[in-house]
Amino acid sequence: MALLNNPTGQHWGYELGKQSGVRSGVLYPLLTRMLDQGWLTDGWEDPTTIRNKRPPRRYYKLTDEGRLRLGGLLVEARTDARFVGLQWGFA
Amino acid sequence: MSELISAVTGWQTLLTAILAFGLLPGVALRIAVTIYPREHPRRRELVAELHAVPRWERPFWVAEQLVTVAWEGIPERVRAVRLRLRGRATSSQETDADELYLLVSNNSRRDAYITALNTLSLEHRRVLVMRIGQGMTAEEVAQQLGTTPGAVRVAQHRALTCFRELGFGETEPQ
Repeated sequence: MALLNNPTGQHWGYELGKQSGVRSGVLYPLLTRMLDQGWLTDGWEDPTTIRNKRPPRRYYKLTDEGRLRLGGLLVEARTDARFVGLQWGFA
Repeated sequence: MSELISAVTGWQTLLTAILAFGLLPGVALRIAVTIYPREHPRRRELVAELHAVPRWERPFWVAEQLVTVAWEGIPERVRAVRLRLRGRATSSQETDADELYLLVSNNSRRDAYITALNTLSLEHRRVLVMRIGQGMTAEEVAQQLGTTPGAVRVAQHRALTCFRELGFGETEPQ
């Protein structure tokens, strides 16, 4: 859901964890799996755009396949009783 | 009450706070990520992410990363050590450079190829050399590197994308 809040944008690990509520011990391996399956691509910040002294961060972007697959999963989840308590914040 | 105030505002308390929320999380994280193999992107990623975490939250976030490191880093390290022991992959840049030389020895853009390849990660270089230079199938490369054919294809696609962005045309093997 957090990824689909901004389907074409870049996502950062820490912010994804905050938005999704997933612990980073689970989140990062999950992101790696999605990368391996081709649902995400990754990249590094352009160092010339960083204002303060810090290393470039890694971002993740949904691929077309990732958007399709995640969208399909969420459609299925809507009808699954286990996820009734989740708030659906998007169309 | 005055003792409590003096304890809270004392230099020992201040120093402890500086260490706990300032220095120690970064040091602990940099030590923890060395569990990952040397070329693993998570080493850089977690250290960079620390700068995005609010200072008060850092000790707890770093403690969570110990779970990430244990869950993911230790198996990655074990896999890398096994591959090295079996001799199926090396981390030697000289070996990669030798294979690249064979690949492009007759090519007038050899130096440019080498420069472009050196911008890729070690994993991407290996996949490109094996798939395109040596003509191995994705299954064979996966077996050599101890990964899955799907992961090999994704790494190959990313590597070729980087290569194309640098101006080198290459067709992907089927």
